[in-house]
Amino acid sequence: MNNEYQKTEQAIQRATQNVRLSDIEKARVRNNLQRIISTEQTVRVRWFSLAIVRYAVAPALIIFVIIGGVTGVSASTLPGDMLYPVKVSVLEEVRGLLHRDTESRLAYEQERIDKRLFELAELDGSGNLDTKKEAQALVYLDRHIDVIQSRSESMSPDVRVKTESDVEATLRAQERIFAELEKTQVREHLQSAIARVVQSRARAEQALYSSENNLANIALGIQKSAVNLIQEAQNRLSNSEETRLLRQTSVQIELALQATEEGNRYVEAGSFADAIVQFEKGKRMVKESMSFFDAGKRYAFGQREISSEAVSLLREKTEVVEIASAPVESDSLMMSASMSIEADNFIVEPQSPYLYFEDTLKDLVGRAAVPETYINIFPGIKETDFSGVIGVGGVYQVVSGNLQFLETASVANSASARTIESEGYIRLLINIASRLRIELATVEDVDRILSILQQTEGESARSDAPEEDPSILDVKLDVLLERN
Amino acid sequence: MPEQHPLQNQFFESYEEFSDSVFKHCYFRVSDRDVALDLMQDTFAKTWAYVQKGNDVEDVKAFLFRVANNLIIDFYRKKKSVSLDRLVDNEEDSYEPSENGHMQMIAEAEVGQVMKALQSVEEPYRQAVTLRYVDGLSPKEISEIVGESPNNVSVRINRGLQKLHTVLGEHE
Repeated sequence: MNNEYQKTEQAIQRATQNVRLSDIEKARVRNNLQRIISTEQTVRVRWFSLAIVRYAVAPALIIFVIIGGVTGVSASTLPGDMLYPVKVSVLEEVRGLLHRDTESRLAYEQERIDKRLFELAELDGSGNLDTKKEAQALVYLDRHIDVIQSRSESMSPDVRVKTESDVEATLRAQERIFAELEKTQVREHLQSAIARVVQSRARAEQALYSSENNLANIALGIQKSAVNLIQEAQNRLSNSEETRLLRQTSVQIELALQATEEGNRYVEAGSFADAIVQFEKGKRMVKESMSFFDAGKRYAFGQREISSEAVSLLREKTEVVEIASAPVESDSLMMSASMSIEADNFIVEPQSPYLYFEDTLKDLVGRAAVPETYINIFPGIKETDFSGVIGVGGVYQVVSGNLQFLETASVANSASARTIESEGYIRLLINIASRLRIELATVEDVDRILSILQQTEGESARSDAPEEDPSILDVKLDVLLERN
Repeated sequence: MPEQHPLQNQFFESYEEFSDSVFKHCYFRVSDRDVALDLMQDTFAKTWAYVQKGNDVEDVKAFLFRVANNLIIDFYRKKKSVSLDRLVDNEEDSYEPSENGHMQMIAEAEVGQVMKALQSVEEPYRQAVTLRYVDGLSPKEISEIVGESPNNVSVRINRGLQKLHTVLGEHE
């Protein structure tokens, strides 16, 4: 080759090296292909995004929507029905045109995500859900997420953080719901979608730091909204008798309070971008936990062990810690409403299985643990258990059978970026309990899980687990037993 | 569970092996990450449809690039004008950051420059240069994909490179 062109060749090659398919994109297209193969038909939903079609055909379609309303293309049409594609890609799209401003359209697309997942849950409830129907709804679900992400790009960083955070809360709650319903394919799809949204949120959070908006006002607005959400959640939970759901939900409310308090400290320090990130985190946790709570009641997976005796026992065992002077109902698990949230002004529930799980693991291996640490210690733990687990600087996801860490924030120390966060321990415990089909209600359930994870053989052990010195296992087990 | 097609595993092995290079090829041809992803997905979907009907594919890589090329041609036939400035300047998700922010900026600038230069190279020279330097295919392999003689392909590569060299030189 002519030497004259060497520099040009090198420039192309350097550019080529900097463009590649991300793991998430690769996994996403792979999922799409799997669905295409399983349904043997491609659901085309892209055509409507063409502007010419949107504006030229819209009036006609609006008339069609009106006609559709009287000819039976109703909201109750479900995946698998002949008219389902008409409902989603025509009727709903036309309704979307009525949402002129971007924020309103973003909210509409979020509703559509809920709708798709609700449809799947409805079909599952009636015993009519199969892989084809799952695939059909999930194609549209991806499309709604795509629309949200592309439209929110033009918005200010704080709106982007809010939007991505809301979508993440919805997807996380639904992922837990479908775990309860034992719908593996939907759950895995949602895990992949969550990882995608977490990355977008992290990018939006980074953009906050260079935002020219008045972040102080925005932070205070979000703080108020977070406080209101937490109070609303507390009020609802204090009247609930859904024992298991209450435990699962209250631990997240507790973490939401911690995030909000962290946000308050950032406000005091004048670091408003950090404050917004923390307040949104608090809101996200409340939204996720309350969506899960509502679904739990709707689908009755929170009622499996309800009895008035159990509720009384739980309340007797609950150690209510009241440090501040805010009024607290003595028979309530949660703090009563207060506009000002202080760090120590909420009730700690020491028997929470989630906190117990986190404390036990941290006592065992130290606070800065990563998945490999636990995989080495617990032969019964699987890489897939860490799917969706949040670390300090990213999220773990299983891609093509391998556990990967997808960085979402730049953390100076790459080792600490991978450290599992408190929120991550909740996810880890939910994943393990779901895989082992153990219902989480008490710390005894966590002990049972830990005991199973200790086993090298048996129904939960990994077949490829390396052999360990039995004496080491004895020591670990002793440490665990000492806690009881 | 529906019964799995006997070629499904093989198909996904090919996906793991070639998806990145097919995507890269599409990306350098159309300059839009989302469109490139769609084209890559369609390439594999069409390939699957082809093998599912019982057709044989001898050289999977060459076949995939042939399908991708046809899809890209279709895309340009249907396509309206796309603002290259928007694509290059506003596409913040286009590149996977490989190092720190400063290095990423340099990398993005380089990619942007090369893509802008490639846009100015006309087809079929652009196709030939992309297949040669982005995808690393030999003139003989390219000739099988585009259905031209290796000699013709070499001429196209050379002319494309010449044009690219001129445009990149103007930026320096």
